[in-house]
Amino acid sequence: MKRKLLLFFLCILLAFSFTGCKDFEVGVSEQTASYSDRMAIPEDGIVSADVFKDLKETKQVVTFEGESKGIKYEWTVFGSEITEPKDCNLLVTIVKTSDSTYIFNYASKEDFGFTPLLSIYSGDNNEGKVASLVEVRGNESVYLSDVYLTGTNSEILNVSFDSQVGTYIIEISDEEEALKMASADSNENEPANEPANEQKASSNSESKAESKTESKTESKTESKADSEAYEPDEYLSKSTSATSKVNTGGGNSGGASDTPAGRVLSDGSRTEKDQYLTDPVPIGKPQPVEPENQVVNKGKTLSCTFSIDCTTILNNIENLNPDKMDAVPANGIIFPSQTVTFYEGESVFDVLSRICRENNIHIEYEWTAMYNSTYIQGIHNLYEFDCGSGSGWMYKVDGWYPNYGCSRYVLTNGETVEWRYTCDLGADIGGAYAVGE
Amino acid sequence: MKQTDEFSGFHPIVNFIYFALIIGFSMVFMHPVMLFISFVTGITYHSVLKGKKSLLFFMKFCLPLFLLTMIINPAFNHQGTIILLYFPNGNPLTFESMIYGLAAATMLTAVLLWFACFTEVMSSDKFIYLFGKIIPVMSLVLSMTLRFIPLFKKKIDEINDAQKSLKKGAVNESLFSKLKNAISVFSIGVSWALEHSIDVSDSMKARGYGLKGRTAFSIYEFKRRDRDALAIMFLLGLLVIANAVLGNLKWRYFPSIRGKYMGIYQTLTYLAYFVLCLIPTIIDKAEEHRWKSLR
Repeated sequence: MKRKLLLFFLCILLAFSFTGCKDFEVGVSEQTASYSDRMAIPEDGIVSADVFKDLKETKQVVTFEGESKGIKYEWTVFGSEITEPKDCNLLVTIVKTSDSTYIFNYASKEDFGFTPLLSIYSGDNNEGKVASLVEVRGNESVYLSDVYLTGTNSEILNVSFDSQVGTYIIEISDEEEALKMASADSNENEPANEPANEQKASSNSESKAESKTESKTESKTESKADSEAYEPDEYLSKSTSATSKVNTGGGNSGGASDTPAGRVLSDGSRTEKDQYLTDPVPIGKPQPVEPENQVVNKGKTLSCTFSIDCTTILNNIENLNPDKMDAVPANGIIFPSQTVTFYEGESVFDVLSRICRENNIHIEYEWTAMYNSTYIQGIHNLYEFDCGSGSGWMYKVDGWYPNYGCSRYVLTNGETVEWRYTCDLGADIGGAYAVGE
Repeated sequence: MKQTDEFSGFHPIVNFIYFALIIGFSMVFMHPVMLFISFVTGITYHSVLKGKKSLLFFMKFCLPLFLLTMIINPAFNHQGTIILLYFPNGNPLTFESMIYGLAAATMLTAVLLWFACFTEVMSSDKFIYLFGKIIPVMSLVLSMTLRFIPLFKKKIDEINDAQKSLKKGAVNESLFSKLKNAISVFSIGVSWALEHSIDVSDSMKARGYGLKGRTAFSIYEFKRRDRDALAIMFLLGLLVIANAVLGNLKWRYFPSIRGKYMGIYQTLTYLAYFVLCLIPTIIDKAEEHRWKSLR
């Protein structure tokens, strides 16, 4: 009797576990959607609303691949970004008109309603260059946003713009030239918020809307199309930014580029590693300043351009730790390029930690005595090794990735600091030299 | 051998597999519900085994361990999206790291409790019975090691009493001479332990332990109830493992806490795990009930 009861109990359990398993499989497939991470764009380019609806529900991240006359491109779509699923035409026609200009034309007749990232694999070597997105309106070209360059030769152009209708141009220019001009500009106007000349005024603290519709100078006017709404607090003032990079009209390119007070530039005399294992600094680049010797002068505020991005992750999304998917912004930009102020004598690390704290961006770092600097382990919950074994954070000042830690780089007025996530030891963001051979 | 509960009377293989399963599950699953089940049932079974002493054990070892783990984790782990405040060194204190600390503390305490139950149930004779044939040297060493601390404690008490009767380390002596005496007691204890372990190994060798063809007497018999218990354990364990493999027991702590309820079969898994963890308690209570009703 008792034995039969037990047998009965076991049978029920067995049945449960089997039917259970079947249902689990269904449950799981519903959970993680049946789409693969990479999909080809169909012939007619139209991806149906059903697909986007599924992506929205499962919050999957999918890359759509396409090709236009030999130029490969891909859309990275975040399911979590989709608001109203509808049919979208993902076809893009890309034409290379000169070495430094790409014209691309969306086949779509209407905006998608969300902002996916468009990555164009240009195939040429853009190392040491910067790019920007420009729209032609009549006779004028209007600056819209920065284009983030990634890839081994910086050949991937990443565009994230909220409109998917019409024709746009990507202009690639020399970074050093652009920076020289930018620094020359900002050197002139010492308290950073004061516009120095007429031209600047358009891009300054006046509203974005104005700069989008109007353009003041005849040829090229820069304006900031800032889609992010960061609240400028007392310390962080949003004003001029890297936009002056595209400035070609300014005639002050030969302007003052003298060394700021207190900065020691490398003359190439050192040939061996210093006590903190730093290789010789290239000629003309600033020597590291040890944090214990830094003197912060709170009486004098300076300004620099600051940005944090992880665009490379979007090109390598299949390597990303799936748990960290939520931490990646859909356009890869964590802190859009903008002017921030700091005290004289502060290092890149000081500025970074303050910006993160003020904007409530997560950051984790660790003091490394061996290199006498702080090591940034993670920003915005994106940590080293989260996107492959060669991934982590690197910083770039005025186009150069310093080969020493961020606590040892003391900033001067008007410099451009970029924090970028690399998935390949710096090679995909043009900074392989900073990590050694 | 004093039998503490009914489950201890089961065949050693049942005991061993049961604890291997439970301790393994407790260590692997970070799902909060699973942790909670293992923690609560661990306390329950330990109190069944040890009675009032269980509370003392909990207060003395488990609680400090729990609190320590809970506090230490957020101090070294800074991942997470909800930033509560910043430490003096500039790194953030996050909500997620605190929750993870709580989960890790629960896991550690649960495993500690289950290990305490394990040593209580799996006496060294059972261990030798199970593994004496397969790995004779290893099992002897293991059982000697497991037995070492309680035995050493007992011996130290004996030595202490003997020393007191020699008027050493008495109550009214100075702190220095007390300390001196304590050191000599410890020294005596250590030399005894060393000698004892050699004695044991010599004695076991003399009895031909580990030799081929040597038989050992044991009173363990694999009865029907052992088979039934084993079958139920396997089934429940299989159910839990199947769910884990299918990803139904996933729980994410970083960067933001995320877990999903996957329907009735997940509840069933919790239930199965709960029953699995309670098997010894159920057996014991049922036996107690039967004993009382028959009397």
